[in-house]
Amino acid sequence: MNQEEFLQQLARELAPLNEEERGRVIDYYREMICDGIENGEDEQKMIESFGKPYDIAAQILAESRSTVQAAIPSEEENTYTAKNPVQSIIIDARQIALEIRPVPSGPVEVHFMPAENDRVSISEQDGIFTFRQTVLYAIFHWHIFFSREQHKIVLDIPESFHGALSASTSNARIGASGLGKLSHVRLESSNGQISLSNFECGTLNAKTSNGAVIIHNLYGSNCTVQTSNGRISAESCTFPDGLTLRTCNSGMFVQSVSSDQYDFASSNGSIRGTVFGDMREYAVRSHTSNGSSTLPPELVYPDQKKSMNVHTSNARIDIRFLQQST
Amino acid sequence: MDTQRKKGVLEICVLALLQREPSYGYRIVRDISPYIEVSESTLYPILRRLEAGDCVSTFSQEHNGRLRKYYRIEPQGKEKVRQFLSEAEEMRRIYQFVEEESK
Repeated sequence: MNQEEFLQQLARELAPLNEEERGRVIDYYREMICDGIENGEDEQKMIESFGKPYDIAAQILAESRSTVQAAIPSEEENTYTAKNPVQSIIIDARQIALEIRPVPSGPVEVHFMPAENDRVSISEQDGIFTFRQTVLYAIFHWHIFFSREQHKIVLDIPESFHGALSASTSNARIGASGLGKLSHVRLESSNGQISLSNFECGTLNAKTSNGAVIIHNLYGSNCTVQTSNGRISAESCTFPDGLTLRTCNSGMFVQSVSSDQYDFASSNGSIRGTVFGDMREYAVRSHTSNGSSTLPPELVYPDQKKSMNVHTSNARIDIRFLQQST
Repeated sequence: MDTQRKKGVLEICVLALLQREPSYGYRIVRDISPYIEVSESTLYPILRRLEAGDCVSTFSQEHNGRLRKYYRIEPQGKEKVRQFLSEAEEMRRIYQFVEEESK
């Protein structure tokens, strides 16, 4: 392949790029070839060493890709707005805090200012709005790591949205408050706190590690919270079908929670607080070692439809049943 | 070296080179090659990203009847090199640790 053939083919493969960008690439290779020839290099050999135009273009296109199939990122404020009706929201993020907040009306929207090593992609398909953010070259940019406090993804959910939300990130916290009514909510992070308050949902699944989970004033059918090395605090939450709280090496505190199936498990951490209910209606099983307990190890009667399981070790259990004021 | 890491390191090498004086594509490839594997095609996205991130700026100079594009380092680029060097001590410790543990 000679110079002109190569450059023409490369230009064709770069058709998805805008004219300016495409021009830059062609100029670069044309210059490279000229400099090479000037230095006594063989034109054919040089061109061959560049690789196939298809592969060169693939790499360049991949670099410049910020795929927007339906949502359009606005240059000024980096708002990514859903253009179609949304039934499900998926946020797939890395190393970045996530804040989920309600808006009275309008579309589902993500606000995010990508840093230099963030790559963002948005898609909408079959009512599923997906926002993906990933980080490049994390290891060699420690200073970006540490200046990321201000850096977060903000997801605005309108009151009218009653669909499912699945959001995950890593090494960062997740916060959601005042969201109205959702169906399934799944939140996952690591090395970060999860803090949720004031919303209603069908099922709630919140998971993290090395971070506290704090839930306050939530209502739904069932709720599972899981962390490690982090405390769990649940207050004024009602999940009749199940309230499962799991951690280890940390304490757990509940207050004014209500469920028909309580499942609290920890190790090396106390489990304390008040739950609504009449203990006689619950099949109670509890266990701890090296700690006192206000609950019997086993108190089960036939016909009991509700259950309470509380397990920890090297710590006390202090759970009391309160009659719920109607 | 895995691709992602290599890209990060190449960026720093290009910046370090440009600290001395501005340079152009062909020469950058030639000057860096002894130290790390780099091809013309690998270099383009790196130069483009550095320019987009304001780490380098470009200017054109006439050479043998054609215009040659030169890259010049900017303050942001110099800062990146500084950051990299300040991390070098920590990386050295980590390498030592991994080496020790792998004996």
